[in-house]
Amino acid sequence: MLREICPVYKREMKAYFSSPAIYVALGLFLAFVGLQYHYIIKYFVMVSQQKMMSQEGMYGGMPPINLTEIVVGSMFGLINFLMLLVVPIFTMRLFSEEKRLGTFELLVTCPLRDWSILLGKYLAALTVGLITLAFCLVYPITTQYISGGQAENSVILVSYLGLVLVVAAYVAFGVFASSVTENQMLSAILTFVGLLSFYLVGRMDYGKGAMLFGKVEWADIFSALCAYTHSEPFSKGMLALPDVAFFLMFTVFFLIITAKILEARRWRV
Amino acid sequence: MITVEKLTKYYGEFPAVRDVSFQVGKGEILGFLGPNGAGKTTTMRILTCYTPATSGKATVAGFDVFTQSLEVRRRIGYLPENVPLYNEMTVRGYLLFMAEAKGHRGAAARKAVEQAINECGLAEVRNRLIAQISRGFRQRVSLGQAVLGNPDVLILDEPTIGLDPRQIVEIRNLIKNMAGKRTVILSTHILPEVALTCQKVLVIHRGRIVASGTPDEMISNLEAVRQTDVIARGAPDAIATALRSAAGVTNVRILHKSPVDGPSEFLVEYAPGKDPRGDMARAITQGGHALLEMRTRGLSLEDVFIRITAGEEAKHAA
Repeated sequence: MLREICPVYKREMKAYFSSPAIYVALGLFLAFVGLQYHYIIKYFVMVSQQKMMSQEGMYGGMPPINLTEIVVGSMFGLINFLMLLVVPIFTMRLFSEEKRLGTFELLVTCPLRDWSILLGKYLAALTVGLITLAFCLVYPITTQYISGGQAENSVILVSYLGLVLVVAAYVAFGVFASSVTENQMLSAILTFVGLLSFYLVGRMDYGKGAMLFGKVEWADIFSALCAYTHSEPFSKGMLALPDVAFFLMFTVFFLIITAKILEARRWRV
Repeated sequence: MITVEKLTKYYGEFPAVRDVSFQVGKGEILGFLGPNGAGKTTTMRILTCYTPATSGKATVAGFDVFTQSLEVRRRIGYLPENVPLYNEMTVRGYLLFMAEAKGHRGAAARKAVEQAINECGLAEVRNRLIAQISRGFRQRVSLGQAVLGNPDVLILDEPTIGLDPRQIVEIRNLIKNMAGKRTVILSTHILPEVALTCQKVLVIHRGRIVASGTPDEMISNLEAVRQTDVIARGAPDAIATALRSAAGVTNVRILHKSPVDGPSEFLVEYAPGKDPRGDMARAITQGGHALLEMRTRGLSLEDVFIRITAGEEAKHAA
C-alpha cells in the first residue's frame, strides 16, 4: 500500500510547489494572520492598561484579564476560521484537475488501488495544511517571548493539536468536493460552503423547543454536528474525547465517501 | 493474449458496445477501425479496467478485467485518446512518476525510463517541461509512458490523431517496431493507417463489429467501387451524358456546375474490374468539350462506411 501511495504523494507535492496558487494563498493567509496578531496584541495591551488604571482608581471590580485566553484563544479562532478559506484552495485541484485533463483515466488504469490514490492525494493536501500551521508557530513563540512566558504552554499545545485535527477534517471534506466535479472553482466553492455550513450549523438560533420525535431537541443535533462547537474547547486547553472523535470521524467519513465515489466508476450498472 | 466475448456496454439507455467478440494472439497488432462514437474508446476502456462492461467477458493474459483488475493493469500500457499529461512536470520526471505508479522502484524505475526515452526518441526533450514541447513529442511521451517496463499488451487509442504527416510516419514506425514483442490494439479512423501497421482489422460501427479480416482482404472487399474525379469545360449536362455513355461507368455525379462555359467537376464511379477512363476521355473530347483533369480517388473511409452501414441498416430494416 505504502509503495503505491508514495509516488502519488510525491507527485502531488511537486505539483503544489510548482503552481503559484499555493504561494498566493499562503502569502495572503500569513499576511492576514500577522496583521490580526498585531491588533490582538494591541487590544491586549489596551485592556491591561485599563485594568491597571482601574486598579489605581477606586473601582477594583474589573474581572482579571488572561493573556492565554485573549491572545491564544483569539488566534485559534482566527486560524480556525481562515482555514475555511485556505483549505479549499489547497484541495480544489486534487481530483478536479485530473478529471478535466483526462490524466485521471491514466492514473486509475495504472496498477494502483483507489485507496492508494486517495490517500496519496489526501496526505499531500494535509501536508500543505500542516505546513501552513507550522508557519503559525511563530505566534505562540512571539507571545511567550514578549510576555516572558506568561501564556500557558499546555493550552497552546492543545490548541495546536486541535488545529491539526480541524485541518485534517477540512482537507478530507475538500478532497471529497474535488472528487465530485471537474471544475476547480466549483470544487473550491463547494468546499467553502460545505465547511462554512458545518462551522455555523450549531451557532444559529433555532428557537427553543423544536423537537425531533418529541425527544431530541434539533438545536442539540445541530450543535453535535457543528465544527465550531467541537473545536472551541481546544482553544481553552480542553482536550475532550467527543471533540477529538468528532474530527477523526469527520475525516474518515469523507475519505470513505470519496473512496466510494472513485469506486462507483467500476460498478456494473 | 486478449479474449473478448459478447462484450456489451450501455451508457444509460444508449448501447455504446453491443455483443463484441474477438481474440488477439501474442505479438499481433489489431486495428480498430470506426468513425467517432463507434465504440472503439469504450471497448478500450473496458480492456484497461477504466469502466466495467454491462455484460460479457474480457480477459487479458488470462486475467478477467472485472474481477482481477489489478493483475490486468500490471500487464497493460495504455495511451488514452486525448494524450493526457501533467504540464508542470518535465518529460523525465513524468516518466519516472508513471514508472513508480506502475510499481517499479529505484534503479529499476530509472532503467525503465531510460528505455522508454530511447525507444520513443525523447532524448532531446528529456529535461523540458511537458507544457513546452510540441504535439508530436507529447504523443511520444504518452507512448513512452505506455511502453514503460515492457508491458505484454499495449492499448493505443488514436495514436496518430492531430499529428502532422511526418510525425504520423514516425509514430507508425515506432508502433510497427513494437510488434512481435508485444500485443498491440490500436484504434484509428484512417484506413491506410490500419493497412500500414496492423495484421488484423476490426471495423466497428454503432457498437457492433461489422467487418473483420486482414488489411488486404478488407480493402479489396470494401473497394466495391472505384471513383474518378473529372474536370472538363463545356455544357455540364452534356458532359455528364457523355461520361455515362462510357462502358463500365455505373454512376456520374456533377460536383460543381460552372455557370458559363468554365470548368465543371464530376465524380464518376465504376466497378473495380473495369477501367473506362480511356472511353471517358474520348467521349468528352468527341462531344467537343475540353478535358482538363482526371484523377482516380482511393476509397476514403467515409465512403466505405456509408456503404457498410447502408448495408447494415438495410439488413435491420428487412
